[in-house]
Amino acid sequence: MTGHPSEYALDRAALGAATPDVADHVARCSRCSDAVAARRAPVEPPAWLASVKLGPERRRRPRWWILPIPLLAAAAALVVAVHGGTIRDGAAGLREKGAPRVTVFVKRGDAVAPWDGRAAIRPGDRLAISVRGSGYAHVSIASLTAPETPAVLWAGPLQQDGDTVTPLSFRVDAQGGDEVLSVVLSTDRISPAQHVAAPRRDGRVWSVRLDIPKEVPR
Amino acid sequence: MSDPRLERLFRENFAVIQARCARMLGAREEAADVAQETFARLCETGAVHDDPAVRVRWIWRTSARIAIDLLRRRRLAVETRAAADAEASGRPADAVIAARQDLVAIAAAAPRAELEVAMLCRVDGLTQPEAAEVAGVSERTVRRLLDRFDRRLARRGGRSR
Repeated sequence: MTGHPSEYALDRAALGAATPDVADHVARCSRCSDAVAARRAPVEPPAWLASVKLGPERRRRPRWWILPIPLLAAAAALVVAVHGGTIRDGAAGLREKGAPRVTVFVKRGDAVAPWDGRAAIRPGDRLAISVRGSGYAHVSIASLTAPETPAVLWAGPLQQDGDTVTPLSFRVDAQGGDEVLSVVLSTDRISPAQHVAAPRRDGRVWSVRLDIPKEVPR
Repeated sequence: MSDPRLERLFRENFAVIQARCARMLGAREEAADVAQETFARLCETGAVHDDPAVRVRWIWRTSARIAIDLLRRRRLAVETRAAADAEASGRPADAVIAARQDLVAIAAAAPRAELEVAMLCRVDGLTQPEAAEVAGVSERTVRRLLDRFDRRLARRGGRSR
């Protein structure tokens, strides 16, 4: 990407639909991250809102040519299960073939790279998280540095196609030990308490915890 | 007292709509009218439930169309003090003002599709692929519509790029 993203791209970022390159740019550009934050600034509901009617959720016409795909996906999932299920993905986090995927990007100085699942992060690093939803509607990301009191860093809708990247990055502080991130994908919005529940993977909830070692200078 | 669901949808979406309309029109009253109308249609048609990428595209396309209709009906005054918002978007203010003036000049004569694409590319500063995505047409169609817009403008003695 050259220069700053367009206003359209920043609008997408503000509503949680940033493309990965825009999310990366917003994470390191104060002007664009301010622009995204301004789009999220609370606006007081006006009087005319009472006259607005909320229509029903639109039903999409089923597309016949999509129907064979779930069957193929089910077959592929079965093959994966038989051959050992979870795959350790070289580029951070856990990945199951045909299942959601979580990728952590670490920005240190001007360099951005996917976390390799082992390397220690440092105070001042910034983390951005990319999630492939695989059919789940929402994602919630929390820090479990204090295990019983999850601090939700970001929650929002997941893109139905492609990856959803957190519109804001998270700065690693110098306090405490390793960073523990909980990522919960779900069909409905969840409460923060879900982050301290046992990891679960079913049709309604898919969760993963990422233990990210942290180097704190002495 | 409005429905709590509406208030939530308002809080999630309206700031984006409002800012988009202000950038597009500059003039505050008209921008507020278009923002209100866009949000009302977003809710009433159910588009507010779409996934965010689709929703943003819908917001951009619908607000552009409402603005163009307004432009034709009211002969909307051109906001000439657009320097601040244009420069905030990193584009030369005079180019944005000139583009708005061009749109007003031929709003009555040009087809809506042409005006819509011209507004997206020349006023909003979108790339042609982005304009194609928002307008729901091919990049080739975007280029063709921009070319027609420029020729129409040139015939009227306006600027052409």
